[in-house]
Amino acid sequence: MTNLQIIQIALRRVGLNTGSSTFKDGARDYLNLVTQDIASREKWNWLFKSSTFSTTNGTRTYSLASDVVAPLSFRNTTEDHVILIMSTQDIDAADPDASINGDPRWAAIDGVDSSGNVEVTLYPEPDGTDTIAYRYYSSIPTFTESEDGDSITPYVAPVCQPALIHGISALYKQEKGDDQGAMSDRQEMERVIAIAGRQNMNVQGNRTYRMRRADDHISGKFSFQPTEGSIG
Amino acid sequence: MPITAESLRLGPWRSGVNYSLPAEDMPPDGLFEMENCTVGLAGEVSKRNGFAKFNASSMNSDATITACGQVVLAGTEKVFAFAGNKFYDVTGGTATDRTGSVTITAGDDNTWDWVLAGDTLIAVNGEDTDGIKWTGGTSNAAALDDDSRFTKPKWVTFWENRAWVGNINGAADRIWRSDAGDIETWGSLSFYSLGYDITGLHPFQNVLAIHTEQGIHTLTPTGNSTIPYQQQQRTQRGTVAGRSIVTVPGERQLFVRDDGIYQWSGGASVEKISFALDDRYWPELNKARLAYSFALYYPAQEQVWFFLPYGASQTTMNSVVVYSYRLNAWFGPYNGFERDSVALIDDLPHAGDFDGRIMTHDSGTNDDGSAIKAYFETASIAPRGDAVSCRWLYNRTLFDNKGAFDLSIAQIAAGIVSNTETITMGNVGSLLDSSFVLDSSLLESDVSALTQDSDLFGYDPRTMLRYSNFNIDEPFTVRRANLQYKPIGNVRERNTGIE
Repeated sequence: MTNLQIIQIALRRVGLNTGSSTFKDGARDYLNLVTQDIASREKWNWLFKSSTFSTTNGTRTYSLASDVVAPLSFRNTTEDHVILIMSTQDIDAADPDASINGDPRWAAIDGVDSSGNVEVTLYPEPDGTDTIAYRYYSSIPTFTESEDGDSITPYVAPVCQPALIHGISALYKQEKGDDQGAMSDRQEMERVIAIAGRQNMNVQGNRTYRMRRADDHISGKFSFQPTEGSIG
Repeated sequence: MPITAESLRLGPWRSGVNYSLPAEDMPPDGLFEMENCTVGLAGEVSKRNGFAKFNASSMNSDATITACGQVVLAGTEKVFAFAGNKFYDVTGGTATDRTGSVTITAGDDNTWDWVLAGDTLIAVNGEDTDGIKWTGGTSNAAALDDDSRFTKPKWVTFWENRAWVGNINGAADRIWRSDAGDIETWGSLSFYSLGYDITGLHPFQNVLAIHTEQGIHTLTPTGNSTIPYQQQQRTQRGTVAGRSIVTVPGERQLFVRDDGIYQWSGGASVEKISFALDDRYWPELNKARLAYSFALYYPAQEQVWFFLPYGASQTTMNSVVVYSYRLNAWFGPYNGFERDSVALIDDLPHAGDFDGRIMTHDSGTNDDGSAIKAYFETASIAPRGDAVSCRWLYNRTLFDNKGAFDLSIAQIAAGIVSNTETITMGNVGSLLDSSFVLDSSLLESDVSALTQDSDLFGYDPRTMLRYSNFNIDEPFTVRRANLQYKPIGNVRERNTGIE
């Protein structure tokens, strides 16, 4: 569905004129609120994305895409190796005067730039032009009237789109004083999100998970180090 | 599953239209505005009937019809018309020139006042020197012998077996009477002077009502041959338009004044009856042209039609407001045409246009081949009061099955974006025991009124509806509307209007 279709279905449920720009603007505001609410509920599969940037000789810091909420992993596709995420403190400890350059092997999440985009610092400082691919968890943008004709599917999966309609309708009815109607729509929204959540849990098929070793060059929150010796 | 909602009924609209009240203060049986609709005796609102040519061929090269009428002359029903500078026998819709040697001066404002005086038609127009008489048959019109007592009389009537003329050349306040039983003999002293310009003559009860703008004067028979009539001023207000005087059953005389339409019941006072036309209708009339307005008593429908000039610079009569004396209510205006004269012919209103034709009104479903643009607007009701917001859900319209025509329904309220829905009235079903064929026909409903629902939108304490159909040959009759709403409660509005 397009943004406009969702807005108009919601307006129909609220009982407002679907052609009125006043009401469409109001519904779009609520669409933006509901999408942020839904995005924050789970790690939705449809919000995992990837992108690339190119390094420049002598430049350590790079901005990621504007919809990046959380970077997940980096790899140098030019040199064909992974880039591990480490902390800025660790980089500072390894190279206090930031003088070492070469093929970057580590990246540190370094806050945001002046536009609010997530920034990363590479170590060592790149000495050439490499393509760095990265995966990340994305945000849903704030929609404006110019995007009314765009499909919302890249940001919210079809299974979850009915929740947007119910969510807009609930908020609009609440604004109009119809608490009873709002409650009913809110329940519908939660029901749809719950269904979408169950589907989201199963999206990885029969994949199994295990804790990684610290030396298998995979970054993660948890790792373990086998102690030498034998188990008797 | 049934919808949890409350219902607001609008109509039947027996109170007719009221242009003097805002929609918010209108009762549910009142109409805020309308055009080209009538209100029936049950309070139903219908698109008015249309009009068609009475005479197929235009008279006198599309001249203005300054008078028309139907009278019985020598035992034969005759239809006549003045068209420009000619007089016609238009019986049966075929015009035959009966002008003869009389002088008729053409002019849209040279309208004729006429009366059947026994077995003779007499007509005067205040412009031509002599009155005109016609006895029907194959004879031509002739000048009325007035014994050279007066010229250019403006008003004429027949009462007490005498002809009477008023407002003559050089003496606008004078009324002359003929001898009893002789409409062409006029005594040298057979006149009365009122002091005010005479604006119309109309017999009423047992008196002759002589209208002046300053009051209604009466002549009452005395039974004394020396002083046969007693003259008396009865009221302080009379008409400004002699052709607008009509008498309806119940012996009420209605007439037009500059500020509205009045009635006189024969007493010492007159009463304004057109308050419902104030504010949003009457101020739009061209008051300077009201003297040329005219009216028709339409007994079959128990109505009076007033032909008025709507628009600040409108010179011709282009707007008809209708008074139902049975409902004591107003409706209209009817518009989309201009007329210069009107009369009852074959029990239907017939009006003269400016193109040589008499038009048969209240007939058919179109205006001589053109669509009738009809609409009406209901009251704007707040079922729970102005403080309680309501969510408007849907509207159920009760209408007569007149055919599968579309009717537009617009919803209007201050806080609601105007929205128009369409319902299809009736069906094109086949009658049982007639054209109905099993397994292929849609069975026509045998009830007179059907219902259909249309969506309502928005949140507002009140709402109103506008029904309209502007298509040719698509009549409608709406009996009432039931609006379903859900009371939300007291909700504070941040802004005026739509938010």
